[in-house]
Amino acid sequence: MKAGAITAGAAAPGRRAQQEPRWIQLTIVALAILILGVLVIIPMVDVFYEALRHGFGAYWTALTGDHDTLSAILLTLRVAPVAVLFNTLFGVAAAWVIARFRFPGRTLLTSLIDLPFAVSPVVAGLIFVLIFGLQGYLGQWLRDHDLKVIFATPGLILATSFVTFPFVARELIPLMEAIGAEEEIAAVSLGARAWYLFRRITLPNIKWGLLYGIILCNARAMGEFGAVYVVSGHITGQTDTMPLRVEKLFQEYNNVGSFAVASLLSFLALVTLSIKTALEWQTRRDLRNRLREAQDEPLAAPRSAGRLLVEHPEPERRERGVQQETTRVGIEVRNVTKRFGDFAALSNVSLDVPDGALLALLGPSGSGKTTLLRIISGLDLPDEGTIHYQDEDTTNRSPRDRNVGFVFQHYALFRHMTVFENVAFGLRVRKWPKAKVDERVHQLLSLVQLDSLGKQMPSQLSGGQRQRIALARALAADPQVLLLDEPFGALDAKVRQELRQWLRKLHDEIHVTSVFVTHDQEEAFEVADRVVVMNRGRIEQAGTPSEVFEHPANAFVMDFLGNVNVFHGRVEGGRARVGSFEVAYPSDSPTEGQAVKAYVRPHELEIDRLPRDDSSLKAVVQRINSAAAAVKVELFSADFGLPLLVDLTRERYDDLHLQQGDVVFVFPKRVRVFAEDYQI
Amino acid sequence: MIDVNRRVLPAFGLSLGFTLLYLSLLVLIPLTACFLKASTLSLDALWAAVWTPRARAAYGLTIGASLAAAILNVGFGFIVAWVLVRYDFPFKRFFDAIVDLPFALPTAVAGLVYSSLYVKSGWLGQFLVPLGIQGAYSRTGIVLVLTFIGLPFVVRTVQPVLENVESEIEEAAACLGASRWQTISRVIVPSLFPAIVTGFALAFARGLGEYGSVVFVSGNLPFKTEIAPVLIVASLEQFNYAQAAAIAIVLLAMSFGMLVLINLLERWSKHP
Repeated sequence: MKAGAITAGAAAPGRRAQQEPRWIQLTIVALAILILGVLVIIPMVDVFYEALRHGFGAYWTALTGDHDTLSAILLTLRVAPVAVLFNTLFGVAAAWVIARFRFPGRTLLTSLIDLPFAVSPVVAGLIFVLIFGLQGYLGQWLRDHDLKVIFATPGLILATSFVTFPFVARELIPLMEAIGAEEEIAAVSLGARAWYLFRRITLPNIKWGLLYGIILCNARAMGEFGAVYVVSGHITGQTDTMPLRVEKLFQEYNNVGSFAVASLLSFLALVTLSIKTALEWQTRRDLRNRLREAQDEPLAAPRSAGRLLVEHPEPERRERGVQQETTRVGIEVRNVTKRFGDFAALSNVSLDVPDGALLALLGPSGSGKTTLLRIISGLDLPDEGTIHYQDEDTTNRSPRDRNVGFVFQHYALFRHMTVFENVAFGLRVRKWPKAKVDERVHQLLSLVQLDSLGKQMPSQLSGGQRQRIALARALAADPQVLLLDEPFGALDAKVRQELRQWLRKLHDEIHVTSVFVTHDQEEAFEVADRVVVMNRGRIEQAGTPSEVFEHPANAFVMDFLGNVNVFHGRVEGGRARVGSFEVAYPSDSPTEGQAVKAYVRPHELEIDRLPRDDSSLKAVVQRINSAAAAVKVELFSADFGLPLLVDLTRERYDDLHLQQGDVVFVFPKRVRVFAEDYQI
Repeated sequence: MIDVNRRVLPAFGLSLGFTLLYLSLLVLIPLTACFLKASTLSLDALWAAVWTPRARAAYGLTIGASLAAAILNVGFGFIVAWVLVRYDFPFKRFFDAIVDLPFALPTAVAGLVYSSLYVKSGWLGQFLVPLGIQGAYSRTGIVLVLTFIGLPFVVRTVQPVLENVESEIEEAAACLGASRWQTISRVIVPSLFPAIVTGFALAFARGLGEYGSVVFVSGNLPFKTEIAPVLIVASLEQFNYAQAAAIAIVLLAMSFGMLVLINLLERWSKHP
């Protein structure tokens, strides 16, 4: 940057509406520099000027020649680290509790941590004098036991700890909230225990913020004056810390001496400020990276995905699906209910996952599918009901003891570990020997076909690669059950498509009982052996993909699994009559005249130029979209007053020579009527 | 919402236990002791202790000087924050960093250097004292040093909010025919108002309790330049613990009031 170059802020380059005339800009900048100059810079320079004005020799003598000054420096170096250590331990514990858990009184606790900031330092000193002083509540007892707190080092430590109490906690709480618990939950699901979790996951993630808090805490601890002033008793050479020594020398008109000590403290402040600026920059960069990864901008193109597609033509999966019908149950969910306050996320849900099957939980958002998955994993507890893994009751077992592999929607890879270490994590917490860990990780990395990426960091991978690593990590410890929460939700359409087929292929190789959550019916049908459709905390239907698609149990499933045309009619003579056609009504006791709805899928409607029989509907062609494998025709039926959607094969479309505005006849090949009323 | 993590993540009980124990031992119990001590005085004695003419003068000075410094800081802080967010100029990062110096610099050093700068022979005093401005050992000195102490608060609360003001808002104002000054005064400043008030309150609260720097520059003359915390120290030195505790409670009441106010303000600025 050239000297004197003043330009509009980098935040909005070239935004004309945000710019003031140049002379105003110059004036304001000059004013700001004047303010900072007079208030901050000149005083700062003056400290060093005053300290050194009689030469460096006098300065050095003032610092080292004075025995009392030396002992003040040493005392500060003894008191501050102890206070900082205590407050750091407290800060980490408090941040863990507040940022990771919800409990009654949490808001109050958060405010109480800030309390010492609001208390005048003098009052902070006073409260300890009132307790430990000669006339204090514990004064007599302390004297009887020959203990000294006030006018001694312990009092200095107490007062300093009080004043610097909030620093570390205040730094860590927002940081840990911003980072989120995803990686920690992933680590627990891989089997990590408390200390290992803290050392390997939490600490690396918060280290810069923690250091920043410690630095600030230390600066304040070394510089504290008011609180320490009250409890120290000013015994020269014994209870004078550096700031107190500054004051004493000042009172003694020893200018060189007091400024010499002050210059040391100022130097400390400048160092603190530099480290703080650097660390602030570091934490901000870390958080920014984290946000960017969460939004999933793939940094590298999915290299091997295309190759994968070609290598695995249609696997013979349906046969296996049939086989599984006879095998035993892998996961058994019995009468599970889960409420969040008044909202019933799951109401009396029961479900069997055949051993070795790949089952999809399909439903709109809020249908309870993710809640069910989390309960199966042990990340959540049901209010009622039980979970069994192969006849073992695991309802109350922690995820760590369930031997479950969980793949998170946003991967939850450990950002500070290489791909290799991520996959190895679950093995290391289980204390596998190193050679076996190496072998197993390489085996898994080649299973997910990313063997060459072991040394990369997660941030260097594309979204699809990250998801495959997350899968390898979940599979590493050979879980009994594999659970995937919207595994492809964060990926773009093409990568999703490739990963689906890849997951299907992978499952055919490893046969682990798997459940995955999705809101995409195409995904569910393409990948799963069995599909469970959920809505409002209940299971609407469970079955093989073709069962569910061909024989939807009710109107919700019918509607959720793709486009559908709805015809309104009435019950007449115990049958549902819709316009000119009639169908059997599926209820035992139909009320005569009751309104019914008939559902017809677009590919179950046919179009002809001429009416064939009674059941044809007259309609006008509104729009034709022939840019797909099936030609989509939108029509309008004046009789029913409703638009119709019809899918035609390309051959049929070519035969008909349809044009916009043509009058045609539509007749259904298949009509479904459901007993229960359901509003679309 | 039921807590999901408590089941999954470890050490909830241990961490909460340690947090509460440490908080109680270091903060809550000692603060209670202060109230206990003051309650040993009868109501009349309590009133007599906290409402002497000398104490009233000290409260007045403490509040007045803190208020003056906080008001100055609103102006200074807004200008500095504006410049740091909106303009590029040489050594901008340096100026940005030194805004935090008052946080990091021990208050005793600030007091020491301010007292030496504004005396007649000091760097700034040599110009100001002939003009009749006594910047040391005077009330002006107290306001000056409190301004230094409180400078970062307004800057650091306004700065992030100003950074997040969408440029579209200003462009919209400009398209609607507002002059630059109208845009700033009617659109930008109102949207920064909660942050400015929060910064003001923080600076004011800090000024109320400040001790270290003020004792150096004020001269501590009763009725003239004696602030309330100095009064506590004076009572303590006479071993009048109850009186010290009584005055401390007045200070605590003021700062707790400010703490509550600041919390409300922060909530307000998040959801205006």
